[in-house]
Amino acid sequence: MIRLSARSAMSLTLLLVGSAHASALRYAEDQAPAIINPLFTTSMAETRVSELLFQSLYADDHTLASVPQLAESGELSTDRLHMTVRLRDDVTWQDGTALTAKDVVFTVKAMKDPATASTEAGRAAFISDVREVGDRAVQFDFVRPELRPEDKLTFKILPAASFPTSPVKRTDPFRTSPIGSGPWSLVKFNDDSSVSFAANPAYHGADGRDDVGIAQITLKEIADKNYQAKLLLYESIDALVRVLPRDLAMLESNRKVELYPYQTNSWWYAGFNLDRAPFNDLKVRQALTEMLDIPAMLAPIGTGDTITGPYVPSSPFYNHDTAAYPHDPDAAAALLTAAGYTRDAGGWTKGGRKLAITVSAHRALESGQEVTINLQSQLQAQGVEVDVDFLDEAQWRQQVWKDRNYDVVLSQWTFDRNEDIREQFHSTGTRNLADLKDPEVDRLLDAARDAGDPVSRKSALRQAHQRIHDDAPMVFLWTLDSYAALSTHVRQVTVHPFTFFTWAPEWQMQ
Amino acid sequence: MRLEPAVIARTTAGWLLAGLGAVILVQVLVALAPGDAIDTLPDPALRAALAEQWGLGTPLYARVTLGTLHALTGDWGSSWTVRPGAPVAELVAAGMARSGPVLLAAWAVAVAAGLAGRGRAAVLLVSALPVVILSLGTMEGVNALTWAGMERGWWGRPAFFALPTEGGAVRDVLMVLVLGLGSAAAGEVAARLGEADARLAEASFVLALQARSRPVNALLWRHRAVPLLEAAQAVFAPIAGGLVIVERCWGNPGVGDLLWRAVEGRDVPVATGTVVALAALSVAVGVALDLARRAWDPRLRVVV
Amino acid sequence: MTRPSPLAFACLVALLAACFPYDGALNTGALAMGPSASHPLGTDALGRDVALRLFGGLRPLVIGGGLALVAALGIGVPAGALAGARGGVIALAVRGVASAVAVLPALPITLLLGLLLGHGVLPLGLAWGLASAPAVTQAVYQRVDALRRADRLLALVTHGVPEPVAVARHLVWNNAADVLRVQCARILATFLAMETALSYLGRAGVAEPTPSWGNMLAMAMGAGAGTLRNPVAVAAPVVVIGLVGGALWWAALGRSGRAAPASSWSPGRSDVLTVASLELSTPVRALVHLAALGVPRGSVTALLGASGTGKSLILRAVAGILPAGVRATGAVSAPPLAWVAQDGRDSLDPLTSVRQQVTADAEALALSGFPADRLDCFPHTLSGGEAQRAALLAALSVTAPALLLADEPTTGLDPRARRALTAALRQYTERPDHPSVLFVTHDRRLLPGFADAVVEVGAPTPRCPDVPRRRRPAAGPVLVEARGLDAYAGLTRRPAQPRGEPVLHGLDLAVAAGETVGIIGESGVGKTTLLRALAGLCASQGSLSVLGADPRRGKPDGVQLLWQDPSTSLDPAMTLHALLGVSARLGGKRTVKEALARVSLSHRADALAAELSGGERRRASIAQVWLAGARLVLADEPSAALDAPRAAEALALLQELVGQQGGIVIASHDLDLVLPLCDRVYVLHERACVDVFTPASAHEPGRHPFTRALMDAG
Repeated sequence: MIRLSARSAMSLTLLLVGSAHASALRYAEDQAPAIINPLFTTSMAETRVSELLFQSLYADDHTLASVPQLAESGELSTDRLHMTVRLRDDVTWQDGTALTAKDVVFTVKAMKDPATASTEAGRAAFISDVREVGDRAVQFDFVRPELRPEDKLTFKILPAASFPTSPVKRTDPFRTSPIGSGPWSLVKFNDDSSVSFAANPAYHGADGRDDVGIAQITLKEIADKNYQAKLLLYESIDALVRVLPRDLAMLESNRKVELYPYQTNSWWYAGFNLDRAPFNDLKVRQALTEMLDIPAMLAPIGTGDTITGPYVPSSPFYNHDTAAYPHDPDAAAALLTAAGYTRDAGGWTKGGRKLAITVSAHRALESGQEVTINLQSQLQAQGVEVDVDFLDEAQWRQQVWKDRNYDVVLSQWTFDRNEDIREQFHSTGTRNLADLKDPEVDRLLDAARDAGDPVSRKSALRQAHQRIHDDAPMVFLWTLDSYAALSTHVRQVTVHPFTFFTWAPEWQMQ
Repeated sequence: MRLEPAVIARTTAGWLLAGLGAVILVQVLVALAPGDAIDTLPDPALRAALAEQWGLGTPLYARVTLGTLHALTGDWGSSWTVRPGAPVAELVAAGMARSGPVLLAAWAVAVAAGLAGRGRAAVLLVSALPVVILSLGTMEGVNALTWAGMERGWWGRPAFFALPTEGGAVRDVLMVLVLGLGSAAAGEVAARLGEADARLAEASFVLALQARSRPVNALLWRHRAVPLLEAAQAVFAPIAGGLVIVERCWGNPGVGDLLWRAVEGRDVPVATGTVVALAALSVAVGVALDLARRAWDPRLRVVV
Repeated sequence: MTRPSPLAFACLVALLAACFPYDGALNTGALAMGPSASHPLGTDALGRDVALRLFGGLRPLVIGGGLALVAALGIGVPAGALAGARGGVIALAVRGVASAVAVLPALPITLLLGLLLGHGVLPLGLAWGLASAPAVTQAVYQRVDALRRADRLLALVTHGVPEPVAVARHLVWNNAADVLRVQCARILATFLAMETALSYLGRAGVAEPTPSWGNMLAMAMGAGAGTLRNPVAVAAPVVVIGLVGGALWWAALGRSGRAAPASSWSPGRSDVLTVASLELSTPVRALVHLAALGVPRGSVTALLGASGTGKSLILRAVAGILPAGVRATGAVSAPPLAWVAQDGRDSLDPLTSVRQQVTADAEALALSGFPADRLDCFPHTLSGGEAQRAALLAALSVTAPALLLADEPTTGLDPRARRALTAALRQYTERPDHPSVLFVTHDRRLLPGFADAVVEVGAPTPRCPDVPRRRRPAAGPVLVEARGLDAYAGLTRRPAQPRGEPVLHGLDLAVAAGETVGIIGESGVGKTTLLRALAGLCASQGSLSVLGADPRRGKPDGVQLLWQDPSTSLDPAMTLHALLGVSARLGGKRTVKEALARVSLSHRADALAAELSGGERRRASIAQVWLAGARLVLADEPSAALDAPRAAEALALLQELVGQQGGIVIASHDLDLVLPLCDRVYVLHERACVDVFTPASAHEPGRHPFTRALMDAG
């Protein structure tokens, strides 16, 4: 017995040896990117990684105004249809070769090439042509006059030399050995699903900044979201890009962790399939909207602002005059009655058919389950039969996007700073999930696109907000408050709302 | 203890055939899976290339044959979505290297627990899966206590500190225990040994020895060896399957985790490759234990 | 039957849960509240009542687990039964497919099947059922196969039970129900575990809002701070899963608990055995009472008694190896001893060769009559006689046993071997240290010249068998006529081409109505093969007519087999009344009551076949044959396991029941038994019939030498 405990004590001592205070910034993602190539970005995790590795012609400063990054200067023609961008001559790729106009032209052409099937093609759609003007300058031709093209020239530039074959493919070797000009470069994809990055000497040296704030970065995949906050507490990671609402209280009270709120341009909705009866009936859509107590649905999943249209309240285009549909079961019942429905013990029926809907949600949608269940419970209490269907990625693509086989989808849209809702609500939009076809909305969106000045653009979009609200192609739900959490070892932290790491070169790790 | 070459050959052949059947079965399952996984891939060029490689559009039997040939010749293709373009064989090998020790340790634990608790139901009360959850709680408890000490500066961060996605002694031990005990394996071993013990208690050759007041323990253990080998072989595949769960819970990036990702991402080559690799492992274990059984028990040396 | 079954109760609860109109989305508005009067277990993070969801969580288990059971049993049972009942290529194919599936880990297969079948509790249940089917197949196969090898299926089919019924009812339901119960419990328990795990991982389990214990756990664990407000929401599903899972495993383990250790009797001093007022009983009934037994040094004592009197138990009590559940009172003083079981092969360790189990000095070897060149063989390769000798040899090689206990040491031996063995045992007692022998037998004929003392157990057995009335040879119609018949080994239920050398060659045989014909020969000469040829159960060549038809073209109606071991045709799980009911329906003419009366078993109608004694079983099998309307009875060693008077009695009964219109063929190695009953005896020797005689002409000179040897041996 004595010998046994002696041995245990010895092994305990052995186990207690060693502690690792990481010199690297370790941050958590739900899922590590499988590949790195900004042309094929499918998740926010990939967007964040691209921010570490690549640069764009223009980037945001701390006031979210576009400032040159790779560009030195830009010159917009008077008709606003052409722009010549002069590149900095001190930028090299991490392999030492110079970043030239050729690379910019290559990147834009690759994005626009249908054979590439780039997920970013839309971001280059406003460019009709691009050509080199010497070694360090490119000229862009635009499809229509552009008000502030530098706001849109924010896509990442790739090295042409790394893509000897055309068209560019996801499976090109670049995916695991990317070459960038950004502040960090890829070290390797590790076996344990983590990805390591190290400071890129080409970037820091060129900038004349020798004080590298963070020498190494590790992306750790933590699939179990229940654990992310705990790992931060236990200093297994140094940063969480998005804290779950339920973990906020725990992290807030911890002195080793700092919370950084940031506003994302993202909002939730429950979208109707307008191609299907009875959702083609505005009265039914409005009735269903008025049946919902949206703040009650928001409460279990976090804090945020409810919205009345396709913008977040902080957006310049948000129409604060638009009145939200009230939570009013009686009015909803009246609307349904007007739509030809009758209520009996079994629920609402019309022509012998029950009012029954299926709510589809992506399984990976954070808190989607809670919201869906609440939605179901609220509607069922008012006589609407609701089924829920949680779809995985493949089913989502197939059922929702390809077959359009759904009644109501619960999802969220995330926008960049341009907040261009055209693809979502214009009748020709590629992401017009509801299949909204309202000439008035089309007119307003066209007017906003063609507007020569910011004021008329803002006015058109605010009108569009009101009009879309009236059409009720979806129930506009809310925008959630987002918080990043970082260890107090990391100082001078500022978080970019969409791309997160844009200002990370200024961070300091102690 | 000597085995005829013919017995070895026929035993091995039987298992290899079962393995071949398993491979074909997996191919059939994959070929039948709806929603053509390839359609969900974003890249049209990749889609076309893969469709050709996997014989999509050809009849079922052709696809199954092609897939089986690929699997048997070791040409497992490359990953579609889990790690696009990476050779499946490499991914599976790396996963195996991480899962192997856990799998073997859990196997040993299951057999040992079954042996210790043979016929006793009490041991098996732990066999339902809440063990996973309770162990997660245990792990958190250990971590919280350790952390409290660390914060007060009593000790540095110990090596056993266990967190998901980080290796750690506590985590590894928990994974092994949950896999060994929480899977049905320990119960299975215990049930089989309990039956064997009941049989042995009434076996005349044991009674004859008892009648002579001779010790029977050695004899009993020799006779338990056969059901034990049988049970060990029978529980191997279930334990290997359980890897999926523990590796997801504790973030051990082994074959179980790989398989889960593959199924989630509809990565057909990786899913197939992983299952085939696990099946190959069960076949190898099956052959070894079957031969051991036959070497041990002369009655089994006749291949029926 | 009347006691309340926990299983039935569990089923009732499960059924209630399945029908329970659970509304998945009852939101109380109180999020993650602790237990209160209106919500005894509190509410979850979405304000739903935990207690209600806990009950609703039974439904996925019942529906999904139920579907898993249906799928696993629906595939596994027929497949296993088919493979077990048919054997051969079919068994190989079925078991091949089963092992191919079993090689694949079930959980990944379930995930893959999930892609095919979609998400939800039904696809999950179906997938789990499909993945679990091989285990069921293997379990059923093993049970059915064992009975097929023991000829149970053949007995049922030749008795007239349609094969599907025989397989489904007798081989599967009555025989494999316990393994099926185990499998059911395992499938349910593992389904529960798997569903919980998959739900926890949040992808493939039962989807919210349908409650399942797994997704309750997942939600409770994921609720973060909510967990602290209502920890019951986490604890409740863990406890429930633990309890239900444990209970299911308990059920799976069933009664395979460890046998209680044998009650130990102090082996006393090196005195010779004395037993005083030995009383053996189970908790429910008394088994044996033995007033006194003494074994003098260097003597052979016989423990004589009819079948079923508990002689073997006395021997085991003396040896201190009573079976579990049997209690003994009284005084036993036994010396160091050795014990040999009834079947010699069972007494030997199957894992080692004979040589390793005996310390064979030449004298003991010679004494036992075990062939020295077989010493390196493993027990399972020995013949019955060899095994018996090897077992004795093993017992004799114990260091100085003062007493040898032998249980029916001559079982399964033909007369010559029997004599050799008793002589050897006799010599054993004459060794220098004068060990003693106590042996159990039912056969009074063994005693002269062998036993020094006889102790009778139970009711005294009749001194000598009443010679049954001799039946006058009737000039009835010919029932069986065989000319130049070659019979081949192997068993077939369909017409088959003969292969290899015939076991019997050029046999002429005739049986007329009202006749009883004996077939005599040593073990292994082909008596059983001949009976099988007459029943059309093995390949044969030559002219053969049985009841006016060629049995090779299908079994003629009215031919019935009486199996060597009466248990073969008696399903041990059925009551005698039910068993005979089956036969009565097949025959269609006679009633069970009448049959029971005729074989004097009316008082045992409600006993299970397994509870009958050897003699009762024999009579029950005779009743079966009679009820089925037999016109020709083929009896294979009907006296095996019976004492001589009872065997004679049983055969007389058989003769009486078959009557003047039918015929009987008895195959036996026991001429004493057969001769008084038979009208004609055929002697088989070295693959042919060497002699035919009637009782009257048996002792005439000019008989074949082998016949004479048989007569002398008796």
